[in-house]
Amino acid sequence: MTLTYWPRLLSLCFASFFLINALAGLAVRIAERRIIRLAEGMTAGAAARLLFWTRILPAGTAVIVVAFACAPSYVRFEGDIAIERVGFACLGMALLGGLVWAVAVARGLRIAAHSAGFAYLCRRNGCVIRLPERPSRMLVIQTPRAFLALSGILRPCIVISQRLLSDFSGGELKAALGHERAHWRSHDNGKRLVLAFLPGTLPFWRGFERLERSWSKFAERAADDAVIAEGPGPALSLATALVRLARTHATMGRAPWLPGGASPLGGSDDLSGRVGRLLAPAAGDNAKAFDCDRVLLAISGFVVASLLTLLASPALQQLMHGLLERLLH
Amino acid sequence: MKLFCRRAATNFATPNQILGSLEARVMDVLWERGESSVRDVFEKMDRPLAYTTVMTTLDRLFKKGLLERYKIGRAFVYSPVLNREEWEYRRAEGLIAAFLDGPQPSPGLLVSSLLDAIGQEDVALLSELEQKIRRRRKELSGKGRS
Repeated sequence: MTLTYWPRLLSLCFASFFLINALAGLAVRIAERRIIRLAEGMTAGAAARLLFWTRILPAGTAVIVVAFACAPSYVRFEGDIAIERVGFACLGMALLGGLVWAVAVARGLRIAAHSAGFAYLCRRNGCVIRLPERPSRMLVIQTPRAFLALSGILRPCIVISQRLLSDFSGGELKAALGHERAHWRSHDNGKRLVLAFLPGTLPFWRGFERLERSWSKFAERAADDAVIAEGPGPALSLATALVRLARTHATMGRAPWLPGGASPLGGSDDLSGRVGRLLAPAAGDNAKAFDCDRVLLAISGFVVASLLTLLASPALQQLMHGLLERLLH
Repeated sequence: MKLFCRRAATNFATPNQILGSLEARVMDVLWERGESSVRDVFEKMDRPLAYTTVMTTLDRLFKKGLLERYKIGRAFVYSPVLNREEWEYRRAEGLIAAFLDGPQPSPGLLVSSLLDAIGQEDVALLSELEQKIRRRRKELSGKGRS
């Protein structure tokens, strides 16, 4: 099939994206268990960050390579060839690349719209209570369900059902709000949005469910840690609140909604783990944990800087152009 | 003679249905006026409508379980089953429940909830956790006293 310059460039970009994203995605998938095991040895916050960036890695690498190597090298070395034949393999990969993005964007939009609808309903039907600390709005919803959540990204608010508000003691509520505030401070809803829009390995196979579940688990644990840091009293209150909430869920049956489009956390296992950490924080994984945040940051910075320098070098761009020509034909 | 037709109360389980604009206006009139005949409502409408349209709307609201009615002579007299506050309350409850129960598979929400789903099979585990909490509370209160 012959294509003019711009459709050709577009096809090449999508095909390269698909190829790199799939390869990097498979590599991450193979290393997934080891990465999660490594995360277990870190503080919950550092573990959550490691898993979040690992999840971003395949698509992020593919976007960086396409934007800083493939497209510039093609523009620079292609010359004025108006029409050129493009192989079906390249076209197929471009189509798959486009599909991967289309599915990801559609999924992200669906989740964002669903969440916006939920936030709107809560705002419209909830009773606002002003809180002394940020996020300063708490919406009380009249419903027999028991739930407490941090909703929204730009204008976050805490949503609580009337039932839970009456069930929780003052200490439990304070501890639970501390937990939600920790989610707000670490921008977890924003991260959920990013995860919702991230493309999977193949158009209809995301392939990172385990990683996303683990991220969600460590994000919860990190928010628990913020309450643990306040002392054993608040930690005990949070544990009580968690079990009380779980008891309500258990009597009402499985709650059908789950955050962030993620799969179920395997709830009971992690509930047990979380309560264990809250009751005996010293014996929990915090004691043996090491915070390698700075090391991780330094390594990622070094890798990105080296990658960008390498990709900008003319020799590599010429090599890249050769590879692209092969891919094209 | 008053003939009560109270199917409304038994029918009124989940008021999560959205009212159309005409239905909402008719409900507004009934909440303002209380018991009203078709003619009363017809006269209170702020836009020109056929008498039969108002009659049909009232009948539809009755069938939806939002109104109750009785007959005086040949005419029906309608009144709302719930007052406005009760209606708003139940509607909000119904809407949010319907939203959270959403179609399967769950599309997910961008919210950080305190706890994710837990099944009924975990009741034994919950009892065990509650025991642990009680023990820990005793320990802490013992430390506090000493």
